[in-house]
Amino acid sequence: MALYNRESKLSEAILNHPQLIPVVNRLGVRLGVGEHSIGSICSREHIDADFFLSVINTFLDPDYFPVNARDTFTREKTIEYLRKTSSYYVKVQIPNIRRHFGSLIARSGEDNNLGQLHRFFEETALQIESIVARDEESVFPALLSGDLDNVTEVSAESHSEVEEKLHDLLYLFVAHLRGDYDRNLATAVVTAIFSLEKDYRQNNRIRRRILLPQVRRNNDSIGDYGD
Amino acid sequence: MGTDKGIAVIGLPTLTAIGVKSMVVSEHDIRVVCYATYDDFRSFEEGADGFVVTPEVFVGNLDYFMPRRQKTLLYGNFQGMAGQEGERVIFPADDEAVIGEKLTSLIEGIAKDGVEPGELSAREKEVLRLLVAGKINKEIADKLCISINTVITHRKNITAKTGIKSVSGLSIYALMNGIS
Repeated sequence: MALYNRESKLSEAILNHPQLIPVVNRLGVRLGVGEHSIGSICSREHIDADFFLSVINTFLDPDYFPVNARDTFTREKTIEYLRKTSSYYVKVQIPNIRRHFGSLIARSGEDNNLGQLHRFFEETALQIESIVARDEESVFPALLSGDLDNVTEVSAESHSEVEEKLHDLLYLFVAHLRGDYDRNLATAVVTAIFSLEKDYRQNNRIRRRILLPQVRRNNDSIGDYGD
Repeated sequence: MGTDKGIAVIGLPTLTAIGVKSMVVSEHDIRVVCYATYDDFRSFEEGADGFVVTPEVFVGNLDYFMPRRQKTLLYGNFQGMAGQEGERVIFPADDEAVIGEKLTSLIEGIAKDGVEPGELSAREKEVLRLLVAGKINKEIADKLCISINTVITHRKNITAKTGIKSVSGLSIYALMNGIS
């Protein structure tokens, strides 16, 4: 059961789930959405409303499966969305956490275990940056050209590994942070990591639920029709 | 902590009791004491955290064992007992791996009662040290002279207790908690 449909007011969806703000931005909608329905906003902005709804419903609801994704979405459209997502990680979220983490360490003295947490964050951030670069260089071009062997499974595996690390990083902050530290900056860092972790996890769901079925369907049809 | 007193093996034939003790201490960081009779066991004040006993010992001392039945394994031949009930019984014909799993399950049950969330046992800390040193399950099993299944069980317990899933996260946890 979808959370939102064409008749739902986008302003209400965003107010109920503020984590949708970067998602709708990636889909081409900016804040200042008025009191319009999702259907009418998509029509005005020339956005595929089915795609828009599938992405936000998959993002919000772990149990939601977009039933019409097989027929209506192109790989190009999904990959474009994922490219924007990756770009948001690398250009906005990770630099934002780096900046706050730097300030947190600078203002917290040395009697704490922030250095170890920072090392773990940097390891995870570098892995994300490297996955994004690999997606751009080889995974997305391979998906677009139909050269699909192994590439999607390998990609899904490394994304799951990052999900685990982000979860662990948050857990270590929440359960094992020790010593003296700047509380406001620590809150800012944890909140930003939390936001990245959630975004990353939910977008991986979009990869698994929308992109991978498209890829498999395409493989099947190549097999079926021999072209 | 729940495993301080260890396991009491009561009433089993001497060689069988020695076999149980040997299997437990080779895989787990827990004490095992063998007694020929229930009276021998009771003549020591300290008691035990878990038990492996014959049905005769169990039935002859129901007042003591009924409240402790979740922490007791029976050793003997029982007709028609299988599934859930069978897990609480070591049959003489069970193969070594099955007996090992039943003993591990008993010890884990005891450990859950006594260990604070997040507190790793000495054995789990050893597994964690080897894990963060980059060893794979097989290497850890060889190094600690335990089975791969036991290593996997320890790893599951480490993740359950610490809340941390990745090896990188566990490395940081180990550093933060002086386990290295």
